[in-house]
Amino acid sequence: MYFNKLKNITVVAILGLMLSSCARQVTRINTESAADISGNWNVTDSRLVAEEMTKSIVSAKWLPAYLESKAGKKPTIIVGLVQNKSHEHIEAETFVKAVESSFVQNGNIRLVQGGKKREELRAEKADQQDNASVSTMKKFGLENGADYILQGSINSIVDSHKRNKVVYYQVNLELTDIQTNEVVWIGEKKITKAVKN
Amino acid sequence: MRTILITIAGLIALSLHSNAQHASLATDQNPRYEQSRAKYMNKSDSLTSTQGTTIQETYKAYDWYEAREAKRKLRKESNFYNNQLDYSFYGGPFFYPTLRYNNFGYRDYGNGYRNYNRGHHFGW
Repeated sequence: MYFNKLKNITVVAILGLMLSSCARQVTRINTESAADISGNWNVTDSRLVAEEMTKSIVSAKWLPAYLESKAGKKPTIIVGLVQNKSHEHIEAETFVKAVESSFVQNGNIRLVQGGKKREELRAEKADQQDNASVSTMKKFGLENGADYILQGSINSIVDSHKRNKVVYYQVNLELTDIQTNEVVWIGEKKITKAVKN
Repeated sequence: MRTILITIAGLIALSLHSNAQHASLATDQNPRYEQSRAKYMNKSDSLTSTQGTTIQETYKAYDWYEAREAKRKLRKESNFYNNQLDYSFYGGPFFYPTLRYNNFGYRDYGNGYRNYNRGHHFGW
């Protein structure tokens, strides 16, 4: 009798343990908090790049120089291509969006869409030519032409031996005058990590 | 006389056209800009379609630890695959005729693979 009771309790305890160990646990963490797990590029790196770039591009000399030379006319920027030449898959949009957001919030910089989003806008405009009322239809040929293009590159150097690895990332964003090809600003963020397996 | 007049008129027209072309140039603008313009006009769509995106041109970095892990994994998989191969069948390179060929008449002990020990049957 006593043995049977003990057996039942043991079975229930084991089942409980199995269920609790199989249940997935999700814990929400602060996006700002540094959480390094594998040593690969992560959210903290992206945030550090975004902070550095937004701080640098808005406060650089090119903006007051442009505003002065154009009698207060705001410069228009288009975001171009970012080349990831590192050893990891890195999506630059995670920090480029922060830079774009800083342009919009700054108030002295205009941002225009490029690439596939611009294609979609033009397609919508084309659709309106047939379907929208004349008073609300948007016209072709009235887009804001960009003065500057923002382009970038991501590079890395990996040095590893046995269980030790040092990874160096260099992220560059460049702002170039479309008319003259003159580079007016270069933002740089260097990140070095030592990983021990 | 008529031919001379036509030639003069033609030269004047050419001169005017040339002047008009130069007049449309901005200060210090390259007069051959049209060649470059023509080159890029037809391919601007394809060249700007990647704007705002990240082109992944990544490379494979050598990592001593990862390489070792990959080598181990490969060896494990290779051993597993080789263990599944059974060369002890009749006509196989390791065929050895015994009374227990193909475990005939004996239990397999539930290891999932017939002749898991790759034909090391010595007849006892």
